[in-house]
Amino acid sequence: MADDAAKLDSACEALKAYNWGADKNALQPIEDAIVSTSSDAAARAALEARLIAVLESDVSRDAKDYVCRALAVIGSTASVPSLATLLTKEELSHMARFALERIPSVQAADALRAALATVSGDLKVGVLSSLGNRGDAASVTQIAAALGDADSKVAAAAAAALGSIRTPEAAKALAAAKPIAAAMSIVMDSRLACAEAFLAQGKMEDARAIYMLLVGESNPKLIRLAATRGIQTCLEQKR
Amino acid sequence: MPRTEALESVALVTKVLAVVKRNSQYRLNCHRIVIALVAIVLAIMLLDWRLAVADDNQQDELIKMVADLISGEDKDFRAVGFESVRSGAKSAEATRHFAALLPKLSPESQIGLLSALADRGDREARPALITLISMTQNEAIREAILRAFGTLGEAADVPVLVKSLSASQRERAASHISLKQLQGTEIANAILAVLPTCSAELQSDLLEILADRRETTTMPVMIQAAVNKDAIVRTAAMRALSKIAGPEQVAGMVCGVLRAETGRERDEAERAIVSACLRNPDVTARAAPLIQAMQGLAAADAAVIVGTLGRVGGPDSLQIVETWIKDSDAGKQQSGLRALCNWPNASIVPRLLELFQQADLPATRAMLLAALIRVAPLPDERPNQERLALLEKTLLLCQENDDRNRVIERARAIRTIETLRFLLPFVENPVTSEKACGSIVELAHHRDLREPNKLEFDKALDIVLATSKNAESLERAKRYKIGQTWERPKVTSKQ
Repeated sequence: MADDAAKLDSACEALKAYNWGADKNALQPIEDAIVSTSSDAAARAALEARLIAVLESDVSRDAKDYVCRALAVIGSTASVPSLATLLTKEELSHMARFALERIPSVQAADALRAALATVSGDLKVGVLSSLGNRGDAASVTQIAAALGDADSKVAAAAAAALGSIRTPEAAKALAAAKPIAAAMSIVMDSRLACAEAFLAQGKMEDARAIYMLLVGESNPKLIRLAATRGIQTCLEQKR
Repeated sequence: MPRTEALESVALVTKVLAVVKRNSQYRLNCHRIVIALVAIVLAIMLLDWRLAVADDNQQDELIKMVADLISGEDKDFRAVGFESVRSGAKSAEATRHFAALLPKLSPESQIGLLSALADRGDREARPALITLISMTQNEAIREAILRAFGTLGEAADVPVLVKSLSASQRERAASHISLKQLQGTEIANAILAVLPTCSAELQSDLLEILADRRETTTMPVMIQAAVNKDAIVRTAAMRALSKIAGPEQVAGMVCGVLRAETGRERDEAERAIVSACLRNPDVTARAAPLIQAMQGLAAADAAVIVGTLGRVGGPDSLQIVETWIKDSDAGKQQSGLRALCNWPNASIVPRLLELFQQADLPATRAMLLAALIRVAPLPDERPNQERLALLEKTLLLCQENDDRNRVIERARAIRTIETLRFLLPFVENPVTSEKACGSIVELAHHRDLREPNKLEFDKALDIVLATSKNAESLERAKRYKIGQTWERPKVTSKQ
């Protein structure tokens, strides 16, 4: 045991100076600890705390990248504040999201949602995408607000995120959206995604309502085809 | 709550009520419970009826939608409609509605709908097919109808399909497939019913179809057809039997061999019998039905069948064949020798060599030599070196260049580098050059032989390129040298 602890200490020291291309074997004790602490909450919390400490210290980007990957596996609410501070940093935002997307606590979603107000451009696209990937129904209002963003990438990401969340509220937000033209096709795709989710849940009327709106002549042919098939599927279901 | 579950719940409540009724302290309330229960049942029935009506409305709406889609101009939307025909609205009524659209559609849509109805597989569409085929002369539509009969038709449709076997190439192909595809125990009888009224060519097609359908009950008819006066029918019957007959049919098939004309027809008929014999799982008894059938035959007929017996092979056959070879009658001897020359494997090579040395007649020597050339390289448990050595030994027996060329051609069946070395000297001789080049490129065709011996093969292929005048050999040599393969020309089954 003492030997393992010493190896882990040594690995954490090595991590502080870690850069891609260096000998990754030096970090193996951390990988081993991730596995061995799976049924020991206290030991895992201690490991998480050590990794957070590395994340908060002045270490290389590559070392922080490594920590984020580890926290994606073992991270808990305790990791959220440290990861949240990285969301606004261009070089590490994506790795912070990688971890936050996978940490199951509500606080992780809260952190991502809060970041929406502070980031823009590609970073905002990323945060919207992470909220969508989490299927975070509580974020629908904030995501919907981004549908009207002047940046077409942000508007499209917001639409895609709502299409991933697929709740009735997400569907309503998409129906009410008036995005810039470049994001329109993603809005329609996402509306179809919502309708499919309703179909799968047996909510035929809700699904059909969406399809009926999308089947209109003004919409692109592919969307009309998909909507037509959707209506048929609704009609083919026995009540 | 689903309707069935609701009704089951009511039944359960009724049983509970019966128990309650027996208990006097609750008896006064029983009539109220009964009234409540009846009300529940009525409510459920009403709900059930309303749901049924809603389902009907839904289906009507779907049918109308599909009709609009497949009547439209846009092929992509038509495809969406056809998809619903294929898999949606699973009811006979819906099928009838879809099928009823057929006469109102454009030819292109008719073809699409026919294909979709065929995939749907509901025979409710069949009457619409019958009506449509009587109305249209459009070849593409008729082809689609005939294809649809494959899944939607029945025994009564066999005459139409058979008649279409004499129509255009497309209709013929569609009918052929559908006749093989039709489901039902009566199909075979329906085909047999029209068989005698058909031309020889049609009978030939139908026999092939029966065999492909694995209609084993029709084998007596096939055996009868194997002695038909028309060679086309006879050949087709024996070919059909070769696909499905077993040892039990061998006796009947013997008549087919005897009726067949000498040459290609006889050869094919004999091969059919061999196929039937080889279906016997008992390897040692494969020749038994043929030997038994031979016993009742006149001498002239037995002389024919002993040749077939040679093709089957085996120790029992060898015993009989040897008796024939040793017979004092020259005709029987020749028949016995011919049988031995038909042997399916190289086990009789020593005997062939012995007989070759003893033979005086040039025709007999030629026949034995041809047999040696054929069996020497046959693939079996013998090592390649042994097979090649036997072929080299056979080459020494050859007196004619044609025979030498046959040996060189057969050598390609032994895929070793030693064979390549054996062949190379023959390239230099103008008489054997082309055959040797042909065998070299054939050996080179096999990558697993060519690649490990690339240097040697490259040199040999260079020699082929410098020597051969044959376009195919030159093309193949060029391709193999740069590591490419070569696609053999396709040969149709009836060739």
